[in-house]
Amino acid sequence: MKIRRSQLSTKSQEMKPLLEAVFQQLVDRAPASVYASVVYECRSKKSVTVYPQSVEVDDKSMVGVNLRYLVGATMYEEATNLIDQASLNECVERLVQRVVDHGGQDKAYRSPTWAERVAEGLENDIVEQIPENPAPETWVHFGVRHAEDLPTDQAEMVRLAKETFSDVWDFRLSLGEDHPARNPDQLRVELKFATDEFLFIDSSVRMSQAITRNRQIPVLVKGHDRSFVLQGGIGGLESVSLDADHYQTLYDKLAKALTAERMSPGRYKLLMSPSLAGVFAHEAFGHSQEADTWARERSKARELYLSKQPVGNEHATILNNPAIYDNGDSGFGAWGSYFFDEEGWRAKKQYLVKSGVLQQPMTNLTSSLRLNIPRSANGKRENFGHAIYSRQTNTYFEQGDLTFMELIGLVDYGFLATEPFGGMEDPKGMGIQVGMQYLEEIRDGELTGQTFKAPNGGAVQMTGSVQEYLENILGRSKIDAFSEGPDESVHPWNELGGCGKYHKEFVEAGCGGPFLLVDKVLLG
Amino acid sequence: MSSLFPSLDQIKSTLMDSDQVLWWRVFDSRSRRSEAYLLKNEGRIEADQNREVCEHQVEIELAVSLGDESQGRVRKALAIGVDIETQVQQMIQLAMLSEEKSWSLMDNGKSYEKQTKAFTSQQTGEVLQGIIHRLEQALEDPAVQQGLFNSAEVFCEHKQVRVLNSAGLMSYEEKARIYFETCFAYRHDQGEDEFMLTEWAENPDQIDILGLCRRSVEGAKQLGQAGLPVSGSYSVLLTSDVLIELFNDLRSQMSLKNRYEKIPYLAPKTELVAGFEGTPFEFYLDPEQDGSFGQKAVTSDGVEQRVTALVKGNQVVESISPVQYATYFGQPPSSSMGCMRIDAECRPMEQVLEDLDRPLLEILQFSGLFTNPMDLTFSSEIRLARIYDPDLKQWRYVKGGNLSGRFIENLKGVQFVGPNKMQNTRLYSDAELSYFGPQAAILSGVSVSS
Repeated sequence: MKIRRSQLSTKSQEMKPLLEAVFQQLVDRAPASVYASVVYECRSKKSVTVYPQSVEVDDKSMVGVNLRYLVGATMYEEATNLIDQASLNECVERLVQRVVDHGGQDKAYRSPTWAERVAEGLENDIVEQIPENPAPETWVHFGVRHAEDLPTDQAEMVRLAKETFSDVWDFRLSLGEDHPARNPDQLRVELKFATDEFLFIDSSVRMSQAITRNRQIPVLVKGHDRSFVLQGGIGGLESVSLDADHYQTLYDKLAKALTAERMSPGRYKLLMSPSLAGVFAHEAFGHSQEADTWARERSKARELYLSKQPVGNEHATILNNPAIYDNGDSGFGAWGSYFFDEEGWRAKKQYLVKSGVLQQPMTNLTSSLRLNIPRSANGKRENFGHAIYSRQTNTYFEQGDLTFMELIGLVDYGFLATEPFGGMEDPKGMGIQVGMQYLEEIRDGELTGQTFKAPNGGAVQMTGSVQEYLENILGRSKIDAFSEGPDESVHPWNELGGCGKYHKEFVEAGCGGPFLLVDKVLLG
Repeated sequence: MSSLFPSLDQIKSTLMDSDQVLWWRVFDSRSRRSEAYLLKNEGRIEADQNREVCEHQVEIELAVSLGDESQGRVRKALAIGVDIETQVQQMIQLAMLSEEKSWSLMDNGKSYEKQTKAFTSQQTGEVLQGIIHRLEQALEDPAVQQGLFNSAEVFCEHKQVRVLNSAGLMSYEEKARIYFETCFAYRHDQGEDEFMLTEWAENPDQIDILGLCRRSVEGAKQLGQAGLPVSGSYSVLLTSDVLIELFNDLRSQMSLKNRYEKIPYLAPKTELVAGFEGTPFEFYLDPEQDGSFGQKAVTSDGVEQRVTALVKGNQVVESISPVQYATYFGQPPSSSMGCMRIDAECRPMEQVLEDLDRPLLEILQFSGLFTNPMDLTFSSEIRLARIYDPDLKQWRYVKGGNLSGRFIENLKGVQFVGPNKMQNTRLYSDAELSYFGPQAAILSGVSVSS
């Protein structure tokens, strides 16, 4: 059967000749020591939100281009959404002038050829989309596999979201009379299909990709509490499919929040779900392993890497991987995946920490040059109007070999955390903060059914030292944690989410892992 | 800046010619931004990235009738290269898929204009260079030289926003925005610590670059000698950068939107803080506050913005009522935008310290403050704080541990520390917030665990 993949829109397809001409101008006008590239993006989002009283429909599209000159290790960019020959000519003129003013004489950067890229070893999903021996002028397109076609008509989206709304609302009638969440104050269902299209041109390659990133989120509210189920990933319509198990989970989560008591702060054993383990990984040696943070001398990880000093025990293995096209056992791709980053670098799995030992960081182009370390596919920006930073894609703990029951059996007293409520990095201070909506009590290896919130009645915060917590990991589950047999899934589940850099620059990012048990976690 | 979009007159005439469009509004925004991302290379400041951004966007929002007192409504940015008639027709089809109870714009055919004197769209690069020059000068300061410069980011943006609507409104607004971020490290015997500070402003003169550099160095220095705070309940001094978020959550619960959506809502005449015994304060939305990002003459739905009291005498006095929700509840619309202004009697810090009879925890920086507008709770790891001992009359620096509170409960015994301060910020969604009021507030009964 022929695999269906996402294609470029006609609008983006038609941009190619203009961008090629502008790229040629950039090359022709550039001093010999300058590396030129052009990046076009079209980020479109179609969404429907169904409330009891209303239906909101949205169709947004943001198109923009960055013309780029790299001089030494400094990137000069002209960014605009005015994409026609005359406007782009003006941008070229300004960019040339700015670089002439800079007057650098450094050696020019050269990006790898197709042959060099393929020789390095890439995921099959990428390799099978590259034609044989492409020339630098050959456009190579990468698309996301779709098992089920996405609706092209927004009326169909409205129908789907209304259907979910009815199903979730009616589901409450199947709950027992005493279920605390049986009568919520409000339900809303958000269905969103986003497509991020990129065209990348430099002297070695011409590439395009269309990443279809979809999600469906039902949200219940009662009083001050709410619950939601996140369902999504990169793929086709299959990535937003919800069923009765999801609805049961949604109502149960609200019930757990509603009935939570206020906890006593202290240090406890904490069993993290894959979503929580992901936030831990992301904030621990995700942000501190972003090479632009190293280059700014703002990460302790650089010093720890050079010293080869352990930063955790044998369970502390953290990866970043933009090439997860099968997320857990879902059959569709993980939220933060793509085929190449926004500077044209191919997606590939990378170890950030291996059995407690730090590895090289994730890079964007300038940080890779400044630090003289290999590039990775982590150059991302919020949109064309923002700068490129080194950013995470899918960050997760590697799987272990225990089942969930074996792992929870290690807890005499502690908590299970399944609902993330934000997190914050401190790459230089090596502190960490991970928020959790509520905790579920574990006593003698079993859930007691009692839930807890923070002493103030709000979200619980895990705070403390990254290295201490990575030393205190007691065990990890398999990917398929609830089955006795060997893992069938290749990659641990990565939850959908978003990420800021310090306090701005929002990008999409996935994070996950297996269930992870950590000892002596400060919770309050 | 050239334009690839149809003129506003063309757009207006297309919308007026459509017999399906009930009402509409058009937003035309143009911006220029200069950006520098700076770091240290061989002992001098160097740009890691240097960017110029030029954007022009035209958005239309329109409503169509669905009968039975309901309407469809959609907002969409115009695409380049597609004729306006086709785009409006597509929007009408899209709007037909949505559904809400009908409401319409205010009848306001006036024109409004607000220009900025800070800088023009041609001057963003020049202003950027001026700020970088001031940063270079600050690096010569002896106190700053105790630290190690790590990085800085500077953005200078000029934006013009024109709004038209079908009720005849025309408004033109210019905005100047500056973002400055700097981070210094300090080398101790055991290693290095860093302390990053950020500031948003309307005018370059509002940013004290030397002061921020000195504070950054001092913060990094103190991190090296800070110990863990002892667990317990504290009186906590929170500064305007934190208060802006806490008051914004409180404000959100005073909106009729919350009442309509059946999420937590503080109705007029509600007592704000049970058993209040603190310094009385009044909470206003002030769209005229100088230097604030919240300055606004009129909203796009046609409501002239005026100073509005939200809380007086520990009681909610008015709801924030945008036209849509005011219509639904049969109320007149009210101002919905503006700087959050707190009027309260403030005492100078020296006097506050003089009168203390128990330790005071002053937060200098949270690792990451998380606030929840649903239940008004807040929590964060303490990145750096100091505790004042009233007996010894000394400060002691602390870091680590988790602080958590519930704003509406912790306000019970609130005291304010002056003088007043303007605090501007921009959120992830590019939404802007402003606060003008006491530079700090002391909240009681805040929990710290370590």
